[in-house]
Amino acid sequence: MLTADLIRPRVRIQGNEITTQPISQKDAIGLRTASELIQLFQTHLNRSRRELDAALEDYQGERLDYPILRGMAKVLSDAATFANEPPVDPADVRAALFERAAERGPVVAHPDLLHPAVRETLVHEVAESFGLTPIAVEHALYADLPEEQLLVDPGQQWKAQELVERYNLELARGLLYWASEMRLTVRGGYKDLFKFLKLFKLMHTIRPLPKGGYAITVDGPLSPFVQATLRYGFQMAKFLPGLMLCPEWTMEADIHVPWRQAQGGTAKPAALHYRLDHRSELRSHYTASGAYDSRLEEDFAAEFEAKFGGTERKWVIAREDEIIPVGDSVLIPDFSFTHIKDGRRALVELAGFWHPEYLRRKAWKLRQAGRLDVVLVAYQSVNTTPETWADVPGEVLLFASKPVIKVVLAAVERCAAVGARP
Amino acid sequence: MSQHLRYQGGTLVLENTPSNAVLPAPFRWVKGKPRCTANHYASLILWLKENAVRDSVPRWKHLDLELNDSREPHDYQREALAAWLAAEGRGSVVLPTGAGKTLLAIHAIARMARSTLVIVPTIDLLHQWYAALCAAFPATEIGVFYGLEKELRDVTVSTYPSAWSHMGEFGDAFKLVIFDEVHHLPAPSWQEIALMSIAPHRLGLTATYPKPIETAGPLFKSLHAPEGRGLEDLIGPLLYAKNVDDLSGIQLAEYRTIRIRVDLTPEERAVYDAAYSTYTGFVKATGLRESHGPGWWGEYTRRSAFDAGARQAKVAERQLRRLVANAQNKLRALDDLLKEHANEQILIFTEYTDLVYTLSRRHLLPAITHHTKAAERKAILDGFRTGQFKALLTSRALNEGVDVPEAKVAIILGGSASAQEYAQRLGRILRKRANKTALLYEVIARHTVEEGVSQRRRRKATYAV
Repeated sequence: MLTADLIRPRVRIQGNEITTQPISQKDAIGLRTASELIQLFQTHLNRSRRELDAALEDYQGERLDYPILRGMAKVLSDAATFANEPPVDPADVRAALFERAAERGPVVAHPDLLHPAVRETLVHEVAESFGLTPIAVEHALYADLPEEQLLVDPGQQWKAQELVERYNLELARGLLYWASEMRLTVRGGYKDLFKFLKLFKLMHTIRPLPKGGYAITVDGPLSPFVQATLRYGFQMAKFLPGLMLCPEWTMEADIHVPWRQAQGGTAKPAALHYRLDHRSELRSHYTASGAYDSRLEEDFAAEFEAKFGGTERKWVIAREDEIIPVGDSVLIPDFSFTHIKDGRRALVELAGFWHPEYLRRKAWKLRQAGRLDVVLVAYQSVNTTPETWADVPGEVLLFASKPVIKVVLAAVERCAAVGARP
Repeated sequence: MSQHLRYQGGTLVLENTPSNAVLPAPFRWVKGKPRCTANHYASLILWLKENAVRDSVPRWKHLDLELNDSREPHDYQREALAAWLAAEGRGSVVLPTGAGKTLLAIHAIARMARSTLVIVPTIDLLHQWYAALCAAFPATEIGVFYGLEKELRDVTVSTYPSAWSHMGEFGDAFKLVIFDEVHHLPAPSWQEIALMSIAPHRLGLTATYPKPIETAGPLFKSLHAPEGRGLEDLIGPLLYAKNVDDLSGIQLAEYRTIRIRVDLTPEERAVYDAAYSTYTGFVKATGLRESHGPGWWGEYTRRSAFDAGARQAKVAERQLRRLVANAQNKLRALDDLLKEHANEQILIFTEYTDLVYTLSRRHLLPAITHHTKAAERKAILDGFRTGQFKALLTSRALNEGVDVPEAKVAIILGGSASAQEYAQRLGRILRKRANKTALLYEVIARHTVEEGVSQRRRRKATYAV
């Protein structure tokens, strides 16, 4: 992730709107800079961060686009691995060398009769005590400093276009460091979305939209009690690529950039609006999960299509297209069944052979949700007892082996409700 | 299911509450549940008991502390502690710099004997507190929690930025929170630290208590805190205050400043002059100081991303600062000072971390910077106190309050510290010991930007010291 000083020069403010300025994939200078930086990192493989930084500063020279250049370099060094494993603990070498030096009086560049301590002698003696060469001692002395770490792995084989793309993404999410709240609309891709919200410890408020999809407000536990805290901005920045996995989304965030604060005296400037949506050229670097979480779900869908799909179908099934809020969390049933003629809907949740704690939590969620239009399909197994699913509303179907689709459809028929969404 | 209070990221959440329940004042229905900020915890304890609400909030522990501190507290420290205990361990104490706020805090921790978090403004103070707590409670492992090391223990020292970032994770783990330099706390985002902690006991320490108008005034009503919560709300009342005049003669000692001016070498001078004229040429030609006042530096930085002249000036300025910091004759002067004071304890400051390491390698002297971890830092400072190490290098990272009373010689190699930093640096080596006069050397490059800085600093310092 970029540091704030690398974001700021690439921020544009117009009226109430704030955005970042990406590098175009057609920008010849931007692309050349990217490939030269990739090259520069390549040539510094197995060399220290200090040497790399010096080379970057040389490369930067008096160029005006240094914020871009440093930003791209930050992307490259974040992806890279730096390491250093000296043969001895540097702290031990320092202790030995400095203690010995202190016993002999000050080590000075111009020794005299009164101050005879000579650096070379001391290093040599300490090298012997560690069984090292004097050069190895000099190397080990501060080998644990960040700038002495060696670039051992660039992380990935970058192409210039990829670096530009990733830099643009880092700029876009970096603006969220100063965000107090995000308001999203999404349609589809809910499972990943909530996975990432949970991963980055964000909170949400969900409202279904009349034409399908959901409006989701994102903030954190403290947000309702203080005005516009920036404490969740970093988590929002980490979350943004998760949102970008959704097929359809919009985002609006309230941004409070600190430098406007400083200039504007004591009066609080209004929040700026930062908007992005799925039409943007930005691409997530997070991996979307597959269409199915398990073989069970995949087989279920395939069997349904084979036996009850086609032109004779009564029901259309869709994957994970409805969110049921449950306390701070959500339940996203695996399938929805929508009647092709009258539009009645029911939801089907498959519970496979999971850990008992997972199954208990699932049952708790279903009870909390209290929805009568949910059909739970579960296995009779050593992990569950009939009590596990007691009082779960809607219908609970237990199967000894593979679920029988016909039985599930009968339950769907009984549970399906009119006027449900989306 | 019965009602249950739990901690969530700096807030308290009342689970399983019927929507018609009568609730104490701090609770608000938010996202389907009654919630409030964690600082209300103490005021809720009675209500929780009376209503048989299950309480899974506090994670603090009873500590078996053995206080090992032979220092006899001064009367004012005893009075301050008594006032704080009488106020049920909630409130602030004002004592001047160097008057022993840490000792007061150590006694407060020993009396409470519960999990304690100490929050300080700088990493250097963190290390100082760490060393003091290790010494005071030798049988207890002390934790440090900041950027470089994140180790949470029953007694932990953290910084304001780290506590701000992570309070949601451990705001339920401490019964006592001590805020050092508590005048920082009313700043809009820092007050979130106090809001997110459940600690019933809080101790604020400072030499400069913020005026009421500042804590409640429009300055702090800005971005994050519409209610303008003051220290009284966050910590408790001001309980005890003594200023420097009340305590004069107790702590302070004499010192003498010696300025050493060195010449740049002819080669250095040529590079310096060229860089200097590029830099000042730009600043004068654009009239930035006149047009932008105190904000001119920000404007200059902003322009350097699109104005070639500004960019050249930036590069030249960095070059000349580096050149002055590393001037050969300064290193020569340091050589001479190390010889002259070979038998005394010397503290050497430079502004640049890389110069600290260059000098450490060159003179084989221990160094402390923001990269030095707590254990090694403590070992170095202990070695310095016992006289095992005669000299110690630090970067400006060590500006506030590293407590090394044995140092009687300090050498500042250049640098552009503010008056406050300067005064604090002085204060550090001037603690009274054996009535010996301390020496402060300033080594600066003649006819460079440093001379101006040094004079400016000196003028301000006469006010501050």
